[in-house]
Amino acid sequence: MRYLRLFLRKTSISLSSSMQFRGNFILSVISGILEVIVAMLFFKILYFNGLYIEGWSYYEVLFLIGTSKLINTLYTMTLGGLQDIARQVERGTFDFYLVKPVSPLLNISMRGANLNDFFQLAISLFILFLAMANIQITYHLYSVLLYILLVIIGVYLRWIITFIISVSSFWIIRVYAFQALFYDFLQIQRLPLKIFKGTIRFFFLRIFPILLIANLPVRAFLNYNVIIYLPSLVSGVLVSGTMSIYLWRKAIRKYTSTGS
Amino acid sequence: MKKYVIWCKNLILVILQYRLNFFLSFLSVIVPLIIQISLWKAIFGFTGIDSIKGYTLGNLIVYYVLANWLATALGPSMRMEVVSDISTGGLNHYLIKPVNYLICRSLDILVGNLLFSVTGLIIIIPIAIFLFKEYFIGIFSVNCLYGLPFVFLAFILSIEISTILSLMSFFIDYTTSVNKIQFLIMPFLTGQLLPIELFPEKIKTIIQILPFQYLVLKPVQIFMGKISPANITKDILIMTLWIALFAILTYSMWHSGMRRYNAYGG
Repeated sequence: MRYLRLFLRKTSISLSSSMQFRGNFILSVISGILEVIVAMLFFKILYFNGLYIEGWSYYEVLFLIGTSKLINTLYTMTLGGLQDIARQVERGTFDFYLVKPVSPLLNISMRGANLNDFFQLAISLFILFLAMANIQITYHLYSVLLYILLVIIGVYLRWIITFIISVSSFWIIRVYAFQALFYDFLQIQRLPLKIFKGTIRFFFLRIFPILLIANLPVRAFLNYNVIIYLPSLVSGVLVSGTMSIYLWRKAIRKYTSTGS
Repeated sequence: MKKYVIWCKNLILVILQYRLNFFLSFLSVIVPLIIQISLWKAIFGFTGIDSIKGYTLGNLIVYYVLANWLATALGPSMRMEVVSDISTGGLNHYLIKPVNYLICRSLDILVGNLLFSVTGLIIIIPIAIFLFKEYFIGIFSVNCLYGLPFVFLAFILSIEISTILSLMSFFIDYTTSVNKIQFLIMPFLTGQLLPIELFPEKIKTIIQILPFQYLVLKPVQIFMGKISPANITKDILIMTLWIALFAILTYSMWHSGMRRYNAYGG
């Protein structure tokens, strides 16, 4: 309850401050729309040229893009402040979080939702409805409920993987290239997992389960069997979860303040 | 001249100080490459085709290796040092020194990109050739003679576009979002994301009018022997015109920006 109040308070501050910079807000909305358009256009061109991914129609791929955006937006709205760890550690100002009477990890993660986040959420839902209107399947209530549950798990996975990357800033002070690399890898979450084979597939299913983040809810929604991915999901959550707890304990001991 | 040589030496030292960051940035070339190759291998496997619009799977692999390397070395981006200098008054330090600010910041881009592309040549291209040598046969021969001077001009064009993007911070406050937008659309316009032959006619025409194709698409096509020497000469002429046009634009933006500059803080 305390964390919910903290989140709501941060959201309230974030909403009022985002309206102060209207130009930035408009451009952020435009960039969110462009992000989706570029992804849609890429696949539209492939399908326009008669190229396809087996078992995936264009609108199913679109549904995957929408789900990926939905998960990323929900993550940004709720726990998206995690990227700030690198900056705080580099400046030696992480103490501000350590001395507060709440979990420093949750406190830094919850940056509060801003107005742009709500627009991005609306864009994600628009993409999902557009895709749904063109996919020829029968929708079941249990598929929808499973989809919602797996989206929540997707947000958790996104958070935990981001955490593992961000926490490396306690050891490597200039971690930006490492983070950029991670964001490159995150792009694969909006690609059908059927594309990947061998070591890449194993790594991104079992160790860093980026491929499961959006693919699993989409498969559930489209009435495909998701039980076969349960071992991957469990091992991914366990491996990355255990790794994150271990790294966090080590990182806190490693941190050096600047005395600010 | 000597002061700029010292400036370049210092730049190299700063870049190499954060060696891990520098070498990790090479992985940011390899990661999209892995994704693109996996995607195209899967598509060729699923559709059972041998080639698409003149590109075999091998051609596409070569295309993406070169395109990713060139995009990282030549891809324009807003220079955050310039944005910060303008918004926080750091520019004052340069204005009172006997150096030309635009030359110094252009050298920043040139040295960083050159260091990156040369190291890239030494690391990424040999690895790619080792992995996909059958596809690279015949690529690095005569075509290099045309490709390398073209890449040199593309360097100048890229520096100008980056400078123009950075100087926008004289006129607008919200540069981060502008930078994000250019990061999203540039891979499309430069040809990094897809070869131009795959685009529908209307989009193809837009890309062919804009100058961004000279940064990735055209050099890659030259290296792959897809453009005749006569057309290369024509492209060089057009690119030179774009370089001249952007030089005028950079100069005008700098002068009109300096009239607006308030020299806060510093």
